Amino acid sequence: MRTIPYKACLALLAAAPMPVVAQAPAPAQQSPAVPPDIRQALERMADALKTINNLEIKADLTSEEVLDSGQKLQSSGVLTIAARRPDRLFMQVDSERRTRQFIYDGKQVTIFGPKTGYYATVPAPATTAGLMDELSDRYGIDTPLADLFVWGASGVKLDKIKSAVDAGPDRIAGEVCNHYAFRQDGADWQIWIRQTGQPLPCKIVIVNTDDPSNPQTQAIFNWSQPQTIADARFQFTPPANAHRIQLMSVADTANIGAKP
Amino acid sequence: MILAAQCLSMMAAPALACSPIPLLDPLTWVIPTAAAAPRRGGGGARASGGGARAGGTAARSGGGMNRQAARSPGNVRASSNGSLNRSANVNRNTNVNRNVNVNNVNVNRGGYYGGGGCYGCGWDDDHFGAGLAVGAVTGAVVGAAVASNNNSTTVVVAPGSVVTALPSGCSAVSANGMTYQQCGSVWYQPQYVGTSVQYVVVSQP
Repeated sequence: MRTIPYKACLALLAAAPMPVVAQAPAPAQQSPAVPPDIRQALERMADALKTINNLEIKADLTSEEVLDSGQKLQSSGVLTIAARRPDRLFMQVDSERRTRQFIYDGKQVTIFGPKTGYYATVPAPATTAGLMDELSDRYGIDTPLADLFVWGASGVKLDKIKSAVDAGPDRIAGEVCNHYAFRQDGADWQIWIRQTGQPLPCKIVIVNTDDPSNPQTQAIFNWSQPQTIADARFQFTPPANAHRIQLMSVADTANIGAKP
Repeated sequence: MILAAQCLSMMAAPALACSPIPLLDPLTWVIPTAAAAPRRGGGGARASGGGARAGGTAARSGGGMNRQAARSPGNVRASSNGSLNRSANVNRNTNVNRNVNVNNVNVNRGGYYGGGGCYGCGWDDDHFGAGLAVGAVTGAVVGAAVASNNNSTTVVVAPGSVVTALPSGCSAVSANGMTYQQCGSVWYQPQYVGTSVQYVVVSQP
């Protein structure tokens, strides 16, 4: 009596691999690359960003460049952001080598180099999130942490994520933050989100995986949420020594030198 | 075209213009024009830092180029992404790389993390006296032949040429609501390419 079920069992086992193999990919295709708990964490963060009307961020920013040899060099700077939803932004990257400000009032955006006095003002889209795309697409400007505004407007683009890892809690500048890691085309990225209180980003790391040396940007945030931010912060008034110049679009740049 | 003395001296040594100091621009906020692009022919156009930039049809100062090649830390081929937003859009901008071949100047690299191939040539906040690299447009040569210290160097200053820094002694002049820099008889129009400033040789406004 025992052998029969045993054989039946063997037969089942022998037959089992076929349906198991056949079925295995199905659940993988149906379930997104981002597990529900991680998806919820990103959504909570995006929701938190959406609720902030006035925010100020100071971030320590490091970025890397890759030489033709493959050697990486890292640079440091301080990123300052003041923003009012949905259409006001002041942003500055300040480093020993270069300082640039972006001032956006909902109608136009100015890029200003305080040290050289050169500024350029161009029309801008109606929202800060739209501005990020405009700067990127039309002017080729990679605004640091533009994602914060994109996430705060339309959430994290989960469909681009190909894998997601919950790396557990980590401590950033004395604060415990939940650490998540993602992979998508052209980028591996990590985000640390506050474990208690508002689920805001503590830190972000973005690795450029298009280049074999994998240069990375890192930002560690210090958030504040003032009641109000004065309009003047988002308006550019040229200082006495300022010189207006043009901001070339990507299309313009392609034509430089084409004229005889 | 007769060039003012300070411009002559400055232009006569384009190969010297590229400081060997690895003045990397840190946080440029500029979209690298596709990570793949820099390895392409771009390397040819800017392979040896200042030397290549000064090159093209303009300056053929072999010694200078070699010297630069030996001292340059190398060109920037890629940089980190300031945001995922950029990562998503980067491919749309790959066509900018045409500039490398148009001008023999890192025009797009100016938008490419602080000037890529020519560290210390400008692009950053020190726009005066940091040196100069001249790139000439092919054709329409309105230039001058000058002699540099050790090399017989022909420098062509044609409208449309792009440099990354001005000599000292230029003066800012406002015309048509925009700023120009007059250096002797040569006029430059400063402009932002990405977050970098470059100077395009123009006719007197």
